[in-house]
Amino acid sequence: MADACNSRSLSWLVKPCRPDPRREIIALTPLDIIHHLRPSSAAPIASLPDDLLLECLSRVPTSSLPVLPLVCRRFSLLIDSPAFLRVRRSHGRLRRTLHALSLSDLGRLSSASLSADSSLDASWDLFSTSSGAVSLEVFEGSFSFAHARVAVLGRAIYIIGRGATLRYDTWTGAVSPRAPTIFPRKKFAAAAIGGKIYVAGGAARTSAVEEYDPVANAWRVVAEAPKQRYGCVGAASGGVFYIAGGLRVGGGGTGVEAGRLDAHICAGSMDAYHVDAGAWVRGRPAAGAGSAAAVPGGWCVVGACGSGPYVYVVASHAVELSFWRWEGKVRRGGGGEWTRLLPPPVPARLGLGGAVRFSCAAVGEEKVVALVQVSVGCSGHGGARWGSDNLAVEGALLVYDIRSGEWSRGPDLPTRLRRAAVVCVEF
Amino acid sequence: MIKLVSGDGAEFEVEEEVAFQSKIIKDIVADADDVIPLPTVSSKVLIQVIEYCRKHAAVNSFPLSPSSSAAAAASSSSSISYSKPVSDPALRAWDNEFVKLNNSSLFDIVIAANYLDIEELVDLVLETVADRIKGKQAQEIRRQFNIENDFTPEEEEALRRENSWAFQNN
Repeated sequence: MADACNSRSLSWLVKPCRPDPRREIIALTPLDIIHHLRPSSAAPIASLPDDLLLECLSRVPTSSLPVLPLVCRRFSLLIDSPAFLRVRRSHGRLRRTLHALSLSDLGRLSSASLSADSSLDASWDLFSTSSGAVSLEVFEGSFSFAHARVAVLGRAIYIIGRGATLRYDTWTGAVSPRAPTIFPRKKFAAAAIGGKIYVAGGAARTSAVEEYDPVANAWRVVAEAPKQRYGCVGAASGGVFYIAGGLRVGGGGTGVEAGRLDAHICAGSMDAYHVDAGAWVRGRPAAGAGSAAAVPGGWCVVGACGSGPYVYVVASHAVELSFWRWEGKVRRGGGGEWTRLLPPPVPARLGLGGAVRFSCAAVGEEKVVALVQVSVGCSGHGGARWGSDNLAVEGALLVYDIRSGEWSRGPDLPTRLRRAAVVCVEF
Repeated sequence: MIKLVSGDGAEFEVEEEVAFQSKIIKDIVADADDVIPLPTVSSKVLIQVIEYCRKHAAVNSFPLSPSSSAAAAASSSSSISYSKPVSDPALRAWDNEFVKLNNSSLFDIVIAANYLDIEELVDLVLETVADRIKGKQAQEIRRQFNIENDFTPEEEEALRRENSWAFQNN
């Protein structure tokens, strides 16, 4: 050990002037580096420093990864560290998978997955737990997943409902309960930023923005939103949590008229919360106080997701859809620019009748996918096609290629998934 | 010639091309008669690392004509080509033989190779270890690498519950 500090040794000569990316990776993990100068014969793998072990584990093929966190504490910590994903990304070993999830109030989780590395033309793999397999007794009071939002942290998808939260491990299929949001919410905005989840809106009694820490399994209020929105959508880009669209509830107007006016203004606007700064990003005065931006032309935001420096927004106007890209300029005093892009080609049979639901997700900085689902009542032209629900659900996956600016049609979602949300998981 | 001195005091004289497989040695060697102390590398491990470097120096010098590798070893050219040798099937076969070692030896080698910054050797060993982990259950991995199961019984029970899928084939 003492030799390592000797001025004649290599490490003294070399380390200060040669930044090693592997060492930078390890500087970011909250783990002690086990000194590797004296390999112990008793436990050979313990002699590997964390950076080498991380490099080694990141080379294990995807199909063999799920077992690794069960081996020992150190494996589990390394696999869960953000560095693990960074190393896999740097080796080009990261696999992207789209997941569409729907959860019934009886605790039946249906999930369909689709590899997003290729051209998205395979069919969805369906996974479904039996009814009641997810134990929901732990949640006190009433809860509902009818308008749940989803957010991805590492390999886990968090399904956040009103009064209940579940964590779905995409490696093992395990579903386990997590702490519900402090305030019950429905049709709210949610997004993951820097290993934490942020939610806002969807509650009549509060404008609180909550942050979820997965390690502590706890929510806390981090800010008060400038508007109380209901039916809004969330997106994350550049460390900013965007809360877009929806109707304004509470606060604001005193009567129905005032409420309606506000609702119209709110539908195309976005509030932007800079997570690290803990502050709201101000927009130009024209955008309205507190709002970072509003989609031009009175459009109503129905879906959004962040990708790289941009937020992609699907907006609706009666029966017409439009698609927009927002580039926020957070560092230069707020503001930003909207660019109108080619609208998503919603199949005609999905465009009319019934309630259309949108869910958007980004696949890296290459693609944006929009899941368009329409529920057609039994009297509608779709007819009853699934089970005893007397409701036909059709889900179309539309894929936007960011580079070419073209939309294409992905595989249809299995009809079993109703009211599904789509997310992209990387590991 | 460059003289490498292992932690236990053994001296090894190697050609520049061989020593320069280590990027760190390549960066710090100022003149040809340098003596490089490697206090953290045992002579047993250093012999194996030199064996690897000698083979790869020979192939890397003339990546397009493996038949002339003998000439390459004799050449005193100081500019070593670091072209990726994985495309050479003969060298890959040699590499595959080279890593037929027990885990403990592999870990010693990868630690030394990482220290000396011999990227291809680090890659080779880590790929080999990852391959030995592949497709195994947790208990098998613990046994193979002599890893202590340091979860408490409660944690293990919780893991077992949450990961019933992963335990199915145990």
